Amino acid sequence: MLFNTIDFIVFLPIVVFIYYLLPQKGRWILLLLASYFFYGSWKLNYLAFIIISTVIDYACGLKMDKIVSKKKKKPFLILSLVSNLGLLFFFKYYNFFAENLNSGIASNFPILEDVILPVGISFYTFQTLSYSVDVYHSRQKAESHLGYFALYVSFFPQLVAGPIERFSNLTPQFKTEKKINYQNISNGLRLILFGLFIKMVIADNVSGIVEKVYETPLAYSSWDVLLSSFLYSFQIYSDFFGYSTIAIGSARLLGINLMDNFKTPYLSRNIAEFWQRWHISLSTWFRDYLYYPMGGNRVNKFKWYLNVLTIFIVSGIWHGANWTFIFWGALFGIVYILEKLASKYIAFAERNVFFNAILILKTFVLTTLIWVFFRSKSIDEAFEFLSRIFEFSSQSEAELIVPLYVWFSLSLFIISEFLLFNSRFDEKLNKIAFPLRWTIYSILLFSILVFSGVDDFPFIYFQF
Amino acid sequence: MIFRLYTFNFKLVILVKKIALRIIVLIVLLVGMNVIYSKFFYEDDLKKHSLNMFNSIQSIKPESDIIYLGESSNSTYSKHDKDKRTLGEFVSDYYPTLITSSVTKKAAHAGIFKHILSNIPESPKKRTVIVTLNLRSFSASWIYSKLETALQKEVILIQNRPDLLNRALLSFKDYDVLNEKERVKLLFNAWTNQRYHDLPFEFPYKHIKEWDKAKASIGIKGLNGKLSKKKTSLACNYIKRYAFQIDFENNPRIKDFNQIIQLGKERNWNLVFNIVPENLEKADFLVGENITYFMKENVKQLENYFTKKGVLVVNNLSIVEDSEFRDQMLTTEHYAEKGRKSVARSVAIAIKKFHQEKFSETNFKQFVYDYKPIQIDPFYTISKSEGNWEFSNDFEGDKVWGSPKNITSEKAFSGNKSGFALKGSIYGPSLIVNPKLSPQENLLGVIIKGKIFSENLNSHKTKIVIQAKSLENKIWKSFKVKNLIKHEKKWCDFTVTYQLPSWIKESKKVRIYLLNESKEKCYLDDFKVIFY
Repeated sequence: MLFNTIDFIVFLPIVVFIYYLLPQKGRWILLLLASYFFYGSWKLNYLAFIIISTVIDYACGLKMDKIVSKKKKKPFLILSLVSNLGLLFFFKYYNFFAENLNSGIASNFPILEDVILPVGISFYTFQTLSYSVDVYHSRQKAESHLGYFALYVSFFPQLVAGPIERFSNLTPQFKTEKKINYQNISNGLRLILFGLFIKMVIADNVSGIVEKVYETPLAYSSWDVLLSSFLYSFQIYSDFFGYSTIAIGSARLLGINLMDNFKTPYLSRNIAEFWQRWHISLSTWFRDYLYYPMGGNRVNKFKWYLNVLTIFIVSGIWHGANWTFIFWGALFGIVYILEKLASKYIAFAERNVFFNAILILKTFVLTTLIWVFFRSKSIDEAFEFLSRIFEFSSQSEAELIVPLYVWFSLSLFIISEFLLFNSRFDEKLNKIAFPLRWTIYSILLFSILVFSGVDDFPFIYFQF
Repeated sequence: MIFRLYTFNFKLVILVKKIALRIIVLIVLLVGMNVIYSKFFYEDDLKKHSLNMFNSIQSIKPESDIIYLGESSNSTYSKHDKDKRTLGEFVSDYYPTLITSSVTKKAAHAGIFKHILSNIPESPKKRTVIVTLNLRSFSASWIYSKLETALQKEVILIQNRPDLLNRALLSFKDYDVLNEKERVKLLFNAWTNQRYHDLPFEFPYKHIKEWDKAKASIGIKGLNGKLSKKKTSLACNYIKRYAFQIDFENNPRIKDFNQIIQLGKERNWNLVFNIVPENLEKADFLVGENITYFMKENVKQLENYFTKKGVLVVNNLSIVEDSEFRDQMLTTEHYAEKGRKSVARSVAIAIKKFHQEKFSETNFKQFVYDYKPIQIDPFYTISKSEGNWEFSNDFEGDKVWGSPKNITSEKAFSGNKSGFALKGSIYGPSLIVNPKLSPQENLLGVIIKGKIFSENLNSHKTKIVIQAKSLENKIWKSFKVKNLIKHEKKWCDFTVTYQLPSWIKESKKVRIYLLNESKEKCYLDDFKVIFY
């Protein structure tokens, strides 16, 4: 069930309505059933993996909680890690490793043709891993209620594409009685409306345009290829930001606050800032569970470079089993390090509005070029695409046509980015008078109904 | 479950009060948006997202007496056709005084036709509506085809709902969205879950997948005697697309046709279902009579089922011969001119029931008499898996095939000798066979292959000839060598394919030979004749 389908539009109000009808002690049952239904609507069989993961982590958590010695806790942590990462490896990475090993060392690992990646496996795996690690380090008390724990793993608004929540943020909210609250309903609906707009009107319309150019970049002029690369930056952002916004809005209808996943990332002055504003729940996960345990920045410079590169490469691998993602991660890591090295020389620029704008533009351009590796199916394809840009050729066999309404909606979105800098759509709207607020609703609603892309482009991050 | 209605009701009252104004505003906004959308955007959207559907509906003349609705079988033609009009237009030739609309919606089926039909402007006339019934559209291959997504998407905007709602449903992808893997999975499930039942003969396979697998492992031989992947694949495609038994309870096409019947009743139409021809000959040759059993049996059941519901069903399943099918290596219903005209005639005669006095004969018989069948590219010709009736001669051994005088060692493509002919000794190597001795039940055609060395390619007088005669019929068909090869004074491959007449088994002999009445010699080597 996708957020931008009639099914979800029917499903969500029913869940919300029943949720507020039920007493607190019954709500987790409803949410758990709804979450399993939501997930099972993709592929019922794969629900088993969530349940297995839930039961193992629940049991490991309880065991670890009863043990003081870290040494004795370790087997349970390992069991949790191996079972979760084992499933993830099998579904997401096995074929990649088998193919590379087969071609690299002439081994003969079978390629599994029929394996379909369970939707959201990377997200819920990381979510449960964070719980196990926190319990192991005694930062988190183990959950004794299997129902609440299962709900933490599978809560439907953020199950398949995040935000990747921490146990300490989410579960207490399930346990606290939520009264029906106009503000929550209003803010939730606003976020859903805004999320649908950016997913359906911007991402879905831009997707088709970008796809054509990526299929045959040589048929387009360098300018068109460059334009499509910028459009892809907006596509992936609006696709994922749209999804996260709908997720946060849907949870808000239930009185539950999810963490913000994006904070106007394209207004960042450098890559470090970009990653503080982009897919925040994943960045902070890597920071807390990988970067800090590796020593963070409290190590010598060389080790620090290595740590940074490792984090970005692992982040690339997390996104997908393809060299393009590894390359993409490594490029971000390299640029991150280079910018850090250069930071003391350009520190003055950050205090100047004009230079700030230049820095923002620089970060956006760099990010856009790095996204080419993310979007391409292979490294060769990415270099072909980039080389087409830098040929500066005006010759073309095809013309990139961006409809006027796409420019218009994209402009609206860019304006909203500036207006929403360091704030959120629902909160911003609270400060606006009723007529203007409803004018904004009307524009968004009309755009969703009339200007949405009609082709099916699933959320990009579903594949991760 | 304990409902806390007491608190909930209180909260609800407050909420309802608070949102009442907003709901009213929202309703007003939506109504206004619908007006704006209908006035300024709907038509553009229709042309953009439902262009074919839009054109199909627009092409129906409001005053039509007869509406012919078809998929690609209606309009696909061969480049050799002299008359490239649609099948529906050929029907209209029989009713020149009636107004006929011929509508083509490629890849469509009853699920799409019903939407087109529901958009036809109503008329006080009692119309005759002819709807194409394609047997293949009942198969899982078509039901789960990837074309379905595009087709389903196209019909959303033309449905009888407020325009804005239609567009909203399109925006929210309220159509059959399945990715490739999901479709393949559904297809495989259908092929394995639908078990054969109540067959009047012993059948070793439980379902399509098993039969398909068995056929693929046995394979089909090509002209060179080796397994042909393309022909094997075609045979398997016949199994995948036709070897099913229609489930009248659950097949979506049955529901679609029933909805069309309902619509026909509401609009007082003479409803006609035209069961379009399938290539039974090729199916039989490649797979055998079991596959044609499924095809005929399904059609028989469909005919009975819809006839009982008051529809005039025209069964044209087997009226088009193999050579009239345009796509020789695909399971399509694309016919050449004679095929389309044959179906049209059959339909036109059937609907005389409704328009007896308006019927007017056409020149169909003369057309058939004059018609020259299409020369099928030998690459696509069929070859029976059991082996064909084949003859070959490399002129090296004892086989003479005609006069020994016409064998020479002057030139040879292989070995030392070849056959030849020239003026004065005009009959070159000749194969003479008695068709009655053929192990094959039917002889549909012949393939003649070999190497030719011609001294002069400009001559019209050098030919490969096929000759046969029965008590009542005869054929003398020649193929000029200059049209078969490209180079003179050089050994060149040639291939001739010819569809034999249905009476060929009644003839005593078939003679295939090289005829050369020119002064320059023409040599023939590695001569091969294959009857199929």
